[in-house]
Amino acid sequence: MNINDILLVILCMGMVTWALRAAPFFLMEFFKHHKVIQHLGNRLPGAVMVILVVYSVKDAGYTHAPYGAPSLLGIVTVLVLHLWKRNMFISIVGGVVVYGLLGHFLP
Amino acid sequence: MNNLQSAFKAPTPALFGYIALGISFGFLFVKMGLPWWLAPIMSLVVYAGAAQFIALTLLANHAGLLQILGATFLVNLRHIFYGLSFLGKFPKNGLQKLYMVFGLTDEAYSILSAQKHYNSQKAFLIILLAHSYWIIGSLIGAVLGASIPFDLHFLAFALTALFVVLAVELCLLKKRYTTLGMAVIAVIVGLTVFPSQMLIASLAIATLLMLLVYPWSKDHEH
Repeated sequence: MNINDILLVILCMGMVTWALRAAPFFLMEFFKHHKVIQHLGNRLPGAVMVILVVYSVKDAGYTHAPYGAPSLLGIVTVLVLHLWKRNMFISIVGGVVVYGLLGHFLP
Repeated sequence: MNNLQSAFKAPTPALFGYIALGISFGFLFVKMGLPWWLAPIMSLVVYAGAAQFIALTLLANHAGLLQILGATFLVNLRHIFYGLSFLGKFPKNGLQKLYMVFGLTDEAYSILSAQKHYNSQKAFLIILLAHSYWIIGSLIGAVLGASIPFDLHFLAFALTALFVVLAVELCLLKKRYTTLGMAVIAVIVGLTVFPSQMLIASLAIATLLMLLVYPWSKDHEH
């Protein structure tokens, strides 16, 4: 890909992101009158995150050693740390450290 | 000055997560063969962690613009609902408001919602700081990636970790166990029935399940 194509991707991604964040400020009336939108709005984001967790580790090599152990134990670490401390920084760094160490030392 | 000081103090631990995540983003960006100086530019213009990581994977697989924008839309869809909490609270000043709307990321949203005494000037500074940390992190990561020989690919796990954190925040800490159950069903069906289109399939199934239970939900009343 050349630089211009990538700049175009970046610019368009920025516009999509901003439009989504700005939507409620422009579509206030629409949101207020559509309970089904609020229903989805309360639930869909959490479900999307669960799906993205699985999507991001689905090709971690579960059929051969170490059977995806770095990814799975990394996720458990983040879960435990976040439920315990509820500090995004600690949770993410802790998970990455566990994942990195296991990936390095497991066969 | 007082606002600036408290903006620096209040959200620091959460904001530093942005530096860590930014470094891994910048690093992977360079490892994809992209020029290092584009990483901070992307973080400046797009400013959406998860979507930026996903776009990197898609770019590496030579995906088209429409596919990347589709993924950006789906991954950032949750942001539509963030603004709802701040409809009347953002400043009247046009430019400042436009910027704050742009900066309403997951982290900014969770930090601002947790503020005991909301102050729009302070909120503006928090968003500005978070954005700067994200750009600085990307720059550091990109420069490191371009200059040191170590394999830092494991940093990509920061993305999975971010998703886990957000899943915990949005499902467990909000006690949305039905949502969690539906997501698990959607994932299982997605992985077994549509393995090659797992992401889209699971998202569609989850949306469908939620629409099916809508008549029995609390939002349906009043």
